[in-house]
Order: sequence, then structure tokens, then C-alpha cells
Amino acid sequence: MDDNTIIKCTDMHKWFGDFHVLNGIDIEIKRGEVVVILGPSGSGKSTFIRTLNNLEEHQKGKLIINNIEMSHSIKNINAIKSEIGMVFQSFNLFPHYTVLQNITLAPIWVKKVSKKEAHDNAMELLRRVGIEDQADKYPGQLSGGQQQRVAIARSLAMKPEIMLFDEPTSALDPEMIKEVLDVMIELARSNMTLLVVTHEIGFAKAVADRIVFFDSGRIIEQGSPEDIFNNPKEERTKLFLSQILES
Amino acid sequence: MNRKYLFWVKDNFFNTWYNTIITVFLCLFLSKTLRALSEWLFSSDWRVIPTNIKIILTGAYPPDQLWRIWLILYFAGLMAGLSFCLLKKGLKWTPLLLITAPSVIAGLISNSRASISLLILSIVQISGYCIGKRMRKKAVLVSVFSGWTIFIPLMYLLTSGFSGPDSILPLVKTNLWGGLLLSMIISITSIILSFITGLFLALGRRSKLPVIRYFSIAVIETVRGVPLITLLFLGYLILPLALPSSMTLGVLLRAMSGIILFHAAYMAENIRGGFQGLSKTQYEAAYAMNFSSFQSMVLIILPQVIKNIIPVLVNSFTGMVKDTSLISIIGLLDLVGISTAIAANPEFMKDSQQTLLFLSLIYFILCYSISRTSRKIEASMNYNNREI
Repeated sequence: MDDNTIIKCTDMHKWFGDFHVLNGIDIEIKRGEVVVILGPSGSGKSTFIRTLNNLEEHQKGKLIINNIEMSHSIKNINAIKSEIGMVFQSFNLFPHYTVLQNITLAPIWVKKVSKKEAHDNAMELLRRVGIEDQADKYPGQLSGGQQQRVAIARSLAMKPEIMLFDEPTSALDPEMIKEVLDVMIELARSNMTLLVVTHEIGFAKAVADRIVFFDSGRIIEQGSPEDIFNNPKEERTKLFLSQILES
Repeated sequence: MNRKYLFWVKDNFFNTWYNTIITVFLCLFLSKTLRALSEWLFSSDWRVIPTNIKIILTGAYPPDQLWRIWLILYFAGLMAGLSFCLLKKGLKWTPLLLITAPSVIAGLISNSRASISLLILSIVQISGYCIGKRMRKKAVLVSVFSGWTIFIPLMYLLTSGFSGPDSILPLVKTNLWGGLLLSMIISITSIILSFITGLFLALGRRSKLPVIRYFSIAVIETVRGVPLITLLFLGYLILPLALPSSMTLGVLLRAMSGIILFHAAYMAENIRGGFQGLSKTQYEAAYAMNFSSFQSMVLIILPQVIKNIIPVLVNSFTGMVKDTSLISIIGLLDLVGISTAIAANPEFMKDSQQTLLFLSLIYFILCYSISRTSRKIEASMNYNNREI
């Protein structure tokens, strides 16, 4: 395995009952790469990124992240998870903590960072996502876009190497999508490894190093944004792209 | 102005012919019953209450040791005063009522020693509030939490005391505890212990380990399928047979174990409902942040679950306060037991209605203050609309 490879996934399978969600996924992702995952709903793209931090377990195949194999060993799983941050479609902030507490909670309890350090780091991150003035509010008082930016800051507070985004803008009103995408674009340019499941073609064109197209639990096609958007090879990709570009 | 009220009456009570009929009949009915009731209220002999007030409140507790009970009340008052500081927007009328009630009662009763003690109680509560206002919020939180944690042991220690020749707190056996004192001790103990037991049963029912899960399910389902009164008798009659002869439990403890077990089963189901009401995504977020399962439970899941089920919990708590009255059946002299005892006294035999009405009033005040206080707590914990 190349030193520069951070995620290596070989013939990964997963079933939900009879439904074959992941049907032999093979992919290698390099450090600092920005990968955008496209595909129709039910194609397994969300399930795929959820297997990367063990929110779903794969049933067959091999998954190696940062030179550690994802197995049943809790030590391995925790070592892998500590390198991965995740941003969800529905934000999933903790409603009973303030914005600041949401961000400092995990560093303080999981990483055992001092309160002061966690606080300073959180304020720094809030500045980075542009909402340091909301630090003492509760998530319920923020707009969707602001909540998602807090969620991004919360994941970044754990200093992960990889960030997973599971349709981060799908639950947002159109006028709030941009503020979240701007934060993600800034992240993409900061040399962090990003895996983004999204339908935002503009974002994909602007920052993706690679587009991966999923259908029926397989990777149908992958390549640079120019290749995929300008001359897709597979019929499925063409059909999907024409559908989302129309809307 | 007067015409406005007349129109209001006409629009609301006499707007159609059938509403007019209903209004007239209801007025007749109410006037009859209210008149009969007030006649009874004013004509009956109420001396039974002041004469027996000491045993209604504390049973056969030795009068020269009553200062210990007052001490417990002062401690509770101080803690209550401090706790009110934690409510949003300062003192509202419910806490104010709780603070002023003792002094009002003190003014109403003639017993000078009791009125002085009640006045002290008011003062202690107010000073608790004032001290709390001057302390830092975090310090208040810590002292309130630790204060209420030692409250139960303190309550038992002071009420029962310990044996010994020169003991400062001479032993008062549990068979001397009675009246409101006994009801309160049993209520508070069973509320707290059944909540804790219920929490563990609920967690056990969700456990991945089959042994723990099936054990919890078995306990919950068995206990829920049995009436409280049978559990009380089981505790009373069978527990001594089941335990080794060297271990003898008092009647009080045996009765309480039945109540606690019974309510723990219901509590467990309430809490389980709360777990199911919480979105799965909160667990996922906590897992993705790499919290251990213990941390995620304590920091993220439980606070939300408990906040969501406060109304249900309070419903159970008030139910529990009233269910303690069943222990009179196995011969303990709680409020209801005492009232039966008073009614058995030839002197007061015809006055049992008055005693019962007074008891209902006490129970009502207890339960109503629980529900009011809980609503205050709920409003304070409303993190979605903090401004409201």
C-alpha cells in the first residue's frame, strides 16, 4: 500500500436483509484528495461513507483506513474513528448544549483536552465558519445553515484527517446552501481528505479532484470532474447527470 | 360596564333555548349541593383537627425529639431556596407561595412553638435564595446537587437517630414514625429509589447482553402484572421467609421494597418510551464523535430523554405519593392509617369526615406543588426557545 493512500477498500459487500446495498466496492483514496460521490438515491453512496466510520458494518471484503484495518477489534475501530469526522444531512447537533459546548464536548471528554484549550480552539473554528457571535446560543435558535456550519466546526474540533459529508445541504433552504458550501470549499482547499455525498454539481466542479458515480451498490464510473461531466462513458451516468442538471 | 357583563352572560349561557334550560338546571343543582356542603362545613365540629394535629403530622414521634424533624425541614427549605435560584427568570409565584406558605400557616395557628418554627422555615428559605443569588451559578448548581444527594441519608439519620447510652440523637424506632412524616419519608424514598431502579431496568432492557436483557424484561413484566397491594403483602409476609433468619427487615423497609419495586417497573417503561422517542441520529452523532457508550449515554442521551419524559415522570411521582397510603393496610400509621386510628377513638368517632377532608387537602397540596414545580423545571429546561 502506497504511503499516500489513506483509504483502501477492496471488494466490500453489505446486505440489508436481502437487499445488496454494497456490491463489491473497490476504491483507493489519497491523502488530501477531495472525492465527490454522486448517484441516484438507494445506490449505496450514503451506506458506503457510513461504513468508513463504522456507523454501518461491511460484511465482506477489506477496508483499510490510515493503515489500520476495520475489523471487530474495538481498539482498531476507535483508532480509525478518531481520524474521521462526519457531517450529517440533519446536522444532529446536541440540542441541550450551547453551540460552544457542542464543539468542546468531544475534545474535553474524548481527547481529554483542557477546557481552556478546547474553548480557544472552538472559538477559532467558529470564526473560521463565520458564526463566532452565536457561540452561546442553543442549536434550536439557529438557522439550518448556521447549524450545519456548527456541525462542521464540531467535527473539525476533533482534528480529523478525513471528513465525511453525507448530503450536507439536502435539508437546507436554497438561500442557506451557499454559506455551507463556502465553508466546505475552504476545507477542500486546505488539503484535508474529503468524501462528499452531494447533488451540488457546482461544488463538485469547483473543488473535486475526483467524481465517483454509484449505482446499485457499485462504482459505475469515476474520473476527474471534466471527464465525468463533459464526456461520461456509461449510459447510467449520462442519464443521471441529464436528470439532475435539468432540475 | 354592567351591560357588557350582561351581554357576556347572555351570549355564553342563554344563547339558545336548550342552553337556557341547561343553565337553569345546573344553577338549581349547584345551589342545592353547595348549600348542603357549606351547611355541613360550618355546622360540624372541627376541633378534631387541632386536637390531633400532632399525630396527624408526626404520629407517635416523641414530642421532645420533634426538633429533629424541624431540622430536616430547615435543611430542605435551605436547599429549596437555593434551587429556586436555578430557575429561569427568578422567583415566580409558585416558589413564592412555597416560601410564604409556612409563615401564613404560622399566623393562623395558635401553637406558639410551631408558629415560631414555621417562621424560621420561611426565613431559612428566603436566606437560601438570597445566598444563592450572591453565589456563582456553578457553585449554586454544585451545592444544590450535593445538598439533595445527602438529603435522604440525612433525613433517615435525623429521624431515626442511633442507639447508645449518651447518644445526642436517641434512637426513635420506626414504629413510632407516623402521619405526614411517615408518608413523606416513604414517598421521597420511593420516588428516588424507584427512579434509579427503573433507570437501570430500562437500560438493562436495551442491553445487548441477553442475560441482562431477559432478566430486566422478566422483572418488569412480572411486577407490572401484579397489583401493588399483593406486592405489599408479599414484601410483608414472604420477604422474611425468603431471607436468612439472621437478616430481619423492619415492617417499614419491607413495605417500601414492595412500593419501590412496583413503581420501578412502571418507571422503566416510561424511561424506555423516552429512549424510543429520541431520534436515532443523536446516537449516531455521539458515535461518530467517538464518545464511549457510557459517555454518550450520560452526556448526550439521558439528559434529553429525561427532559422529554418529565411530564410522564411527574405523573408517576404524584401517583406514588398517593399510593403510599396503601401501606396503612399492613398496619403502618401513615396519614391514612392515622386517620383510621383517630376515627376509632370514641371521642372523635363521628368526626371522621373532617379528618378525611383534611387529609385530602394535605395530599392535594403535596401533589399540586410537585406538578407546579415540575412545570417550572420543564420551562427552565426548554432549550429550543430560550427566550419564551
